[in-house]
Amino acid sequence: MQAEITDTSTVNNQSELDDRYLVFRLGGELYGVALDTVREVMKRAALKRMPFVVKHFAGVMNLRGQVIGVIDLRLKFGLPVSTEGNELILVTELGSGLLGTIVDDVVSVAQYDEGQIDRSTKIESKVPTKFLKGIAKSDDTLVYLIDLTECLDSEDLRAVSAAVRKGA
Amino acid sequence: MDNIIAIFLEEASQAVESWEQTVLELESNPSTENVQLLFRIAHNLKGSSLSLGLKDFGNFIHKVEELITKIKNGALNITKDSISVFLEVESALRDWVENLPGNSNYKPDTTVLESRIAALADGEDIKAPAERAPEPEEDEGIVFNLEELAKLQRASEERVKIVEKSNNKKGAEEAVRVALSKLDTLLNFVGEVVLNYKFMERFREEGNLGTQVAEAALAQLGKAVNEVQDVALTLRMFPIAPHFQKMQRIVRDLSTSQGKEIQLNLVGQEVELDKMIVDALGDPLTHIIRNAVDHGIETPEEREASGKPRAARISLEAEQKESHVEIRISDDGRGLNKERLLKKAREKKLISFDQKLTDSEVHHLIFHSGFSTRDVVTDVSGRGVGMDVVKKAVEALKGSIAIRSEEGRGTTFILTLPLSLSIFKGLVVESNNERYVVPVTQLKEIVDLSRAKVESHMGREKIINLRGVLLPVRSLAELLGRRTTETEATKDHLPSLVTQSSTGQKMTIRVDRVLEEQSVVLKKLPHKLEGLPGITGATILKDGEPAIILNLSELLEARAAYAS
Repeated sequence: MQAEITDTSTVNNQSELDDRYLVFRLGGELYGVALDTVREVMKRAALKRMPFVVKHFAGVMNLRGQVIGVIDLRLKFGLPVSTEGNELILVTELGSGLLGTIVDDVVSVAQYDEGQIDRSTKIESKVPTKFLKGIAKSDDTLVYLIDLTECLDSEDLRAVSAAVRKGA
Repeated sequence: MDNIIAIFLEEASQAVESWEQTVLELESNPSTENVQLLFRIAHNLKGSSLSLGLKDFGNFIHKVEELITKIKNGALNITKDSISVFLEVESALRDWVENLPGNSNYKPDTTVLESRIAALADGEDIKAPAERAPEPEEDEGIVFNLEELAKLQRASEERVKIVEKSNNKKGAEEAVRVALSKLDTLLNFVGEVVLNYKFMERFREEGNLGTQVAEAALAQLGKAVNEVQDVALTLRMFPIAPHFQKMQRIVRDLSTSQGKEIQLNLVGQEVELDKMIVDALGDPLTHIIRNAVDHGIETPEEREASGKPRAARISLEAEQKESHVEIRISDDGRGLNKERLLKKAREKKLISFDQKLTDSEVHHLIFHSGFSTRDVVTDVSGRGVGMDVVKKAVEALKGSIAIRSEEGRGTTFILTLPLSLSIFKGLVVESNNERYVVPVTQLKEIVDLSRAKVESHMGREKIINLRGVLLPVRSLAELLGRRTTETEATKDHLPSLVTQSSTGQKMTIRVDRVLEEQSVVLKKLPHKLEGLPGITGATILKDGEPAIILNLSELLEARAAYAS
């Protein structure tokens, strides 16, 4: 199901943004990311692979003249690589700039209040607890809420040892 | 920091620069115009600082202004001492202006300087304190040579500054002064773009896109867009003159303190470079010049003994070539001593004892980190700040540095720098079905392997014989850790790029195809990818696809390190 994605910059009520999530599907599960980090959603475009980077760095792409990196979350979470080819790319704005994430499909924009979110640390899931902010329950569905900054922004994408790296 | 004070400080730094220039000119040409100029600089500085409430600053300048007035009125002559004092004033002002932003109550200790100014103004014959016999007081054991102290302090400050500068770069918004004419030209061209675009819009509305008239208008639009880009890039370009002129002061100070006679020739000061490059060049240039004076230039006696003129010549030249700028620093001094370099390199285990190196490779040894042919460290060349720092600085600007030297005759450093950091000429090549861009400044030439003699060396590495020089051949795909589409059959017929590695050794790198040369706009890589060896950035090719910009010598170095 394709949902209409509104431009997040038109939402001016901060507290509304705080508990709104963009829900997407990946490898059969549903995940949610804070809506205020999502800039746009686009069809998967040609990615240019880069040497010396970790496996789940899918490559770089041209976003209206800017070169941004794109991560394959499936590979990061250890899921099998998708063969469908009609995935979407979530363009998010994190601390260090824009970053793209490949997802299978974008489902909806949802709002969850605290009561719906299970933040206990004993959750078992494919997602390492470091990235998992909690699990939202809505009707019968479970949505894993992930922290994109922790997940994408905090790691070193370079697969080169420090000795070989420039400036070391 | 108040906005107004920030603007004042910017003008003050400019004033300090002009001050130094004027003083140096005054030294060789004590004309009334120069005195007038000096007076005006002081007067303006005084006025602005006082009106902003910077009383200490203003009062200090006032004392200097008084001295200049006396000279202006003919009551005093310009002497070597007054020039020295003026130069000390410049140092004090420079220090002041640099530190005010951090501490608005900053005031350097100018008491000694002020008393010298006062003494000069009163017509007293003041010699540099060292030459005056000090009257020892009863409990005074040490007599200070103030000039030496000042010099030492400056030298240590420079070292601290090098570190601080790199820390300060982030954060504060940098600003530049741009010639109004450049801005006017830019606005003109922007106007043309807007106009032509409106034409295109009308064509579209009327359904006339694709007609000959529309095509003509599109061509015009294209031209206008190019013009905008050209001018926009020049907004960041500034002449290298200020940095060259700084060198005059440095050479003067150094030659005086070392008892050497040196004449500095400046050529091509009007050549312009991207501001970031110009600013970043200051330190490497200074270091090379200091090195030249310290190690390269002999004392006048030595020179006479070897039949050279007493006064050594250092020439600092900038030349704009088609797509890059060449800066040459040459001296007619001792030249590099090959034997000593080889000995040092062997001692430091940088090369093996029986390793054969070409002259050029020996010379390039000095760029190795940890290499300093003077074990006694002088405060002039700085502790441990070797030529490798210079090389890194130049390469960080996407440039390259080379040396030519002849023992007994002199040494020349050649810096090759791109005109702009953001746009340069690149060669698009293809390897393993991927396209990459190599800045042309890195390429010495392109060789068709099928024309060159390919030999096998030790069964593994391929070597070609290029006009008598043996060059190793590597595959770009392999350097990038990629599988290659080369086969044994095709390998020896591929085009190769000849580049120079950081050790001065030429190498050839095989690619699948050489596509074309085009102007390339540098795009920064996503932040998290910075520091990948051999990759300086990305760009977007004509068809919209991103391509990686390579740094071949870095790539070779990284691969070598990997292998070991």
